[in-house]
Amino acid sequence: MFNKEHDETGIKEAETIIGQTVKVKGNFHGQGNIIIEGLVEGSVKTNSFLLVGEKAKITASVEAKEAKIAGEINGNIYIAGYLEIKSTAKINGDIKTAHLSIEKGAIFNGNCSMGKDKGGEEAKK
Amino acid sequence: MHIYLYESNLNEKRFASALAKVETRITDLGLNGKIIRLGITHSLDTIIHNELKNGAKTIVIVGSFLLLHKAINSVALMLRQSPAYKDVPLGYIPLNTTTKEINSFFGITDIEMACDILSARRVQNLDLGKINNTYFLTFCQITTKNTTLEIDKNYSIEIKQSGDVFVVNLPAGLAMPQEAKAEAKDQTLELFIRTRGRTTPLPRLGSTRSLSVFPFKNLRIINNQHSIIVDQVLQIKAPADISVARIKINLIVGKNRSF
Repeated sequence: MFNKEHDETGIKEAETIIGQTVKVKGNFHGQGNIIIEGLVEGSVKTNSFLLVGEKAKITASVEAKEAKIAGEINGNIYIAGYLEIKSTAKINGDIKTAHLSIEKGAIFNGNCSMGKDKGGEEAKK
Repeated sequence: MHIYLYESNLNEKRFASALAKVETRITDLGLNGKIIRLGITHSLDTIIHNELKNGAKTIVIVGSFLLLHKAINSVALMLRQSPAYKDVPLGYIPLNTTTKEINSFFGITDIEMACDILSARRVQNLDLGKINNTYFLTFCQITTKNTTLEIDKNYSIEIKQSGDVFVVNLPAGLAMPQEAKAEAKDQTLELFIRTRGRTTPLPRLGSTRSLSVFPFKNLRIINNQHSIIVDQVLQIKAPADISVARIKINLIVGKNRSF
């Protein structure tokens, strides 16, 4: 299933993969694509694509160029480009993004602001 | 001039036929050079140092991957003192080796092919990893049991299930996730964690859920009970600091290498 999901997103290369059996504590900043299937207690930031799998749980803010979220995020989300929220996602926090899609079944508690200058500004910081 | 360094135990009768094959092929290819038969009392550092000073154009290791590992360390030590020899490549003819997967990763599947590879002289300039004061070409490995990882001082990693931790420069014989990029040319090492994952009655084919990969520059491994296996041939006690070396090494590799 994990592989299938990667195929769907077209991720052929990932700089970082956080598997289900790993918990990361601290601020995690990268340049390349990040795939998260495990637990992260701290901020996540990348200039590329972020994939948050169904079993993943992130407790802190998230910033990326683009993202697909199927897991749980307790924190604010800043996406410069397109944010795709899957039906299994649970988000407790505010979203700032340029483009957004939310599948039926997703849980989202927070404010959402959109526009080209929204998520982009934060993600570039 | 080619300098051939023969591992000390290659004078045993069981290697005679293989060595004869190597020497015939080397002669056929016109790659004859100086042969140095290493003894137990010889210092590899001194021999390589002297041969490089005397104008060796290629150093060829004939023997096990352990000898290649030691030779890489000797060359790296010399390069640290003087970059004058940075263009001299290392060649490798595997004999008496238990590291078939590593050999084939470099595109070397048999000794005659190894000689042909020397002749073709495809040189790759590769990063080296450094664990304490030892250089490594492929990867280091330690069990997750009692292991603590401190990575780039920004974050820590807690591993929830048992398995193995690898620090990868080149993933020779190591099955990493398809999406992960581990190449010895980007001045970055990869921390690869492979746990056994959930116990299920059926194996989950192709699953990468229990695999994690983190790029890093500096890592500290702490473990009071278990040692770290380096390049699959050497053991080093933890704690150990691991980083990318500033020195690169030239290695002659096969056309069918996996990187």
